[in-house]
Amino acid sequence: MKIKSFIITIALTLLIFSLSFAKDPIAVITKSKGNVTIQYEKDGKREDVKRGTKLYSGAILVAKEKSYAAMLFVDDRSMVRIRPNSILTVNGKREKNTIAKNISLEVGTIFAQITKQKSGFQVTTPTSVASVKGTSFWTKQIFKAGTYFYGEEGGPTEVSNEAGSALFKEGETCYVESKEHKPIVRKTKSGEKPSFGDEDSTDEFKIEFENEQGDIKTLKFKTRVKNNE
Amino acid sequence: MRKVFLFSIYLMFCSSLFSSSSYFDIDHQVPEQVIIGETLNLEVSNLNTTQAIYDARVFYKNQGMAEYKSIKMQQKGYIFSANISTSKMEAGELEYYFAFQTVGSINYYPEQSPELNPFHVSLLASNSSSTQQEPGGGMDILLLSPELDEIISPDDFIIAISIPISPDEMSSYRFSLLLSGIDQSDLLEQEGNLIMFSPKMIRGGLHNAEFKVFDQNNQVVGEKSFSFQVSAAPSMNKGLNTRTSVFADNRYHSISESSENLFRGGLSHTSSYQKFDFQALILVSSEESYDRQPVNQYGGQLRYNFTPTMNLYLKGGDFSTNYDQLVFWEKRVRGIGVGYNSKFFDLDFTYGQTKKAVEGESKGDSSQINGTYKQSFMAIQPTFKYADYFSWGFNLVNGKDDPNSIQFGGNPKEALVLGTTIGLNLHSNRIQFLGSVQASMKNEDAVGKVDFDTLADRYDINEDDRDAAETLYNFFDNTGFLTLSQGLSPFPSVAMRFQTQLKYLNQVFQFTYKNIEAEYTTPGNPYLMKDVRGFYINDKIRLVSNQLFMNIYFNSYEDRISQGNGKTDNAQYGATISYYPHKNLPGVSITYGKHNRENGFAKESIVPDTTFFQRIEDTETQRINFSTSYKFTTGNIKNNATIGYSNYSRDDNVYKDLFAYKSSQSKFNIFTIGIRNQFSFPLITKISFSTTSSIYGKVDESRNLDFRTDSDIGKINLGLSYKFHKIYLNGDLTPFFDFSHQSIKTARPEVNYKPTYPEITGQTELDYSRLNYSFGFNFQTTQYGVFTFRFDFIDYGEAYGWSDSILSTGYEFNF
Repeated sequence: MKIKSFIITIALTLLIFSLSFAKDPIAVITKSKGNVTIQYEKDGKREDVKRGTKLYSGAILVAKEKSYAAMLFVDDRSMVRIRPNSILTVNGKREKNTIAKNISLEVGTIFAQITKQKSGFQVTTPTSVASVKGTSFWTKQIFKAGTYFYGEEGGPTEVSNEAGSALFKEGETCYVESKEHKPIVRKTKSGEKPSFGDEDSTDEFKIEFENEQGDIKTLKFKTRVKNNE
Repeated sequence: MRKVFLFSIYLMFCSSLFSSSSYFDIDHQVPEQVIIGETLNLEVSNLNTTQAIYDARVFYKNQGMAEYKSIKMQQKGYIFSANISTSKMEAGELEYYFAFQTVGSINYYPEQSPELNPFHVSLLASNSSSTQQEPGGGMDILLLSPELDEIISPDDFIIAISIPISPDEMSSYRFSLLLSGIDQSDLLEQEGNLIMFSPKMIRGGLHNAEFKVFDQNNQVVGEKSFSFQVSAAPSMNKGLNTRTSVFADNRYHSISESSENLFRGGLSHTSSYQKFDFQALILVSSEESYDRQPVNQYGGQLRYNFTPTMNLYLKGGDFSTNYDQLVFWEKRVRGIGVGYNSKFFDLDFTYGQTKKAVEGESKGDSSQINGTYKQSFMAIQPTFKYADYFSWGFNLVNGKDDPNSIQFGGNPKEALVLGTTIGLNLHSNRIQFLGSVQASMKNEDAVGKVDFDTLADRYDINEDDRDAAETLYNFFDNTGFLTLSQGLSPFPSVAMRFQTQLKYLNQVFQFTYKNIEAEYTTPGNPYLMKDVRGFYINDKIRLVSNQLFMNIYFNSYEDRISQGNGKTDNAQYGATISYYPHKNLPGVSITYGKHNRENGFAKESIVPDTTFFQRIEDTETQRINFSTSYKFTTGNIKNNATIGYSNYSRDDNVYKDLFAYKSSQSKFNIFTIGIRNQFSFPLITKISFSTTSSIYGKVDESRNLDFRTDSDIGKINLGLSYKFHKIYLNGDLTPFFDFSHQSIKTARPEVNYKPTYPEITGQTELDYSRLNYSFGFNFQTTQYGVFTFRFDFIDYGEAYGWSDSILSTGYEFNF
């Protein structure tokens, strides 16, 4: 009887917990190319993501070869770009108007552009956890090996694990060999940092901005296509 | 007469001398105040059934600005209404007046010189809805998609927006999306605080979008405008993107002891297919009648977009096109229009009729009631331009009455306007210039034909000018723009307008000069105010980190220029200072304005009773206004408190002593206080109180006769609304109830006008109340549309032996 009650309690707790996570979307896919899928259980049903796909807490995203995607969180427009050959889980817990976010990167490369956080933003890898307040940086997780964090802009960002912690900022690389090894920070070598390649579409276009006084500023873009990812 | 008297109080309250039109029995209640960010709703009732109004507009501007803007009023039976967004206005005073187009004429309300004697409503500073503080409204809106640094393919297109609030609070708000001018609100999908729009198809090119958030009181609390580009690559999706709105309104009223039922229905449709855009409007009204100008409307437009900036269009049926305010502006034409737009050249050609023939009537005693001639209309405007930086357009507008269209009519009239308009837009819109010069000629009796020599003799054209005049004569003879008859006036009248706007150093400085001659006539803008000349200077200044705003103006102009000594000099100056110290503190606004008018009769010290048809004017009008509003939260209740005080005085330096009975001297004090509460559950309550004390007229001190009318008006308003979510058919039901009680006390002299100098024979005192109850509901469903019901009951108490009631129902369905 006690065991039954215990199981029911656990089940209800899990249900409430999962409902609190899965109730509302926490992010939305704003870009997707190639073969990027989403699932909510390890062995669950996989679906292709496309622009506009809503992400609920617990979403597992898989970007295969020559595939990439970008998502924006709904509470603050923080962005995560997913590079090819990446697997990650997106978790978010709502705290009033904000969402405490956790990206769990199993393997692959992501770029996170984080606006100033009220509820926290973490990137968790098999070796360490990066806690972010407001910055942009790359995370590259080698399969069954170490993790590289590359500071892109702003900072500093704290990386920690059981062995210790370290801060890295723009122009620096933080390497964590395993969770038993302390994070090491050094200057980023030329050509070492990942880049976006040519993932975006191509064309020439302009965007006009108008402020309340009616001032119009035009931003012109010119891009080109190169699908050799 | 009852209405005329009732609302004369309001008219006096608002400014100056004007009386109810002889053609209309107008009922308009001037709103006491509006908080910036709220929508100002203006309503006018025309209770006269003998004159159909087939176009009504409200003209409005911030006090001190040179130009009025205008929007079309929506007609529901005898009620004409317009919603004016105040979110981009400055605190201070808003001036407005109404214009009505009827059979062959334009009528205004106020009737006399409405541009100079407009209604006023206070625009209250707001501590949180001030757009100056937070562009786009107070609520944060996050645009997630489209991003700025991408081109979207048509098949990939979505708009994703999030509101960074708790998802539980989302039910307190309503959202709207306008995409390239088309309302797509019904197609928005909401989940949590994420709102998405994903149409089946979108055309390539540049698009403008406007997203708005409304609170439960229908107040805009946040807005975001953005532009984006959809790839010109053809969509893989060949689906048709359409949007249709079907609507029907019915109104039954019993007013002034007469009842009537009115119906209006129709549909508006927009669609796009690849590079084609199509729009259509059908409006059918029970007021349509063979002996009135058209009330029903049937119009369509087809446009082919070669690129985002180059298109070709065809319009047919009822439509309007705007060239320039002096030429062709907000004029409804029934006919066709074709045009072309590109980066370097635009062309528009419009042809049709602006009046249909309505037969007059012979009275049999050689007199007749004049009908209306069919009026043909033609307009063409080629414009050379360089992107948005420079434009130079030429226009020709021609309107002609067809004398054969009816049997009983007055003089058929014709007019021709030729002119040019230049626009400059430099340094990212910081420097703007607009110049327009137009010349018009008209024929006031376009029947028959006279030869050139007869005309030359009639207008005494000398030998030197004869060749030029004959060339002009031949031009008209060959083109047929004007009939060469006795009514032709060969001397052109001119209208010009030059406006420069500079945006530098936290200032928006505007200088305008305009000169519109009395005889200038354009068939393309029936609402143009004429016989005015002068300059208008306005400067808006932002100070103290956008917390302090000043609006200073000085205008110097003449009106009634053509009326000899009636020509009146105007000097207007004033300022508004608004201070928004902090989001959590009240915003405060103080306005001062002065308007001096003096005409030639006053300058020559003419004795008042020697002019019969023109008023002598030497007046000084002063307005002082203080207002504040404060949004604060008590527990779970969101409150918005407002306080306003206005003092208005007009000194009349002419009509005194023996002529005191003619004086328009007046003084008003208006105090208003109100509070609106929004509860944590969807209930909104409102309560406001206002008191107005006024003295109108003057004392004849030579005979010790008091010609003044005293009035005291106290008004209390109560209102509440409650929103039931998802009550039936997944729709929201919002019932509402409003109540107002008005107490009016008036003491006015009884005057015997028979003696040379009128005398007072007694005093009339009127003390009565007016009660107004309104209740109804709005039932809104995503799937089945919106149904509205409203019942108004107005009780005039013991002063009058009747009451008015109005029952309105409406339905709108979008698909």
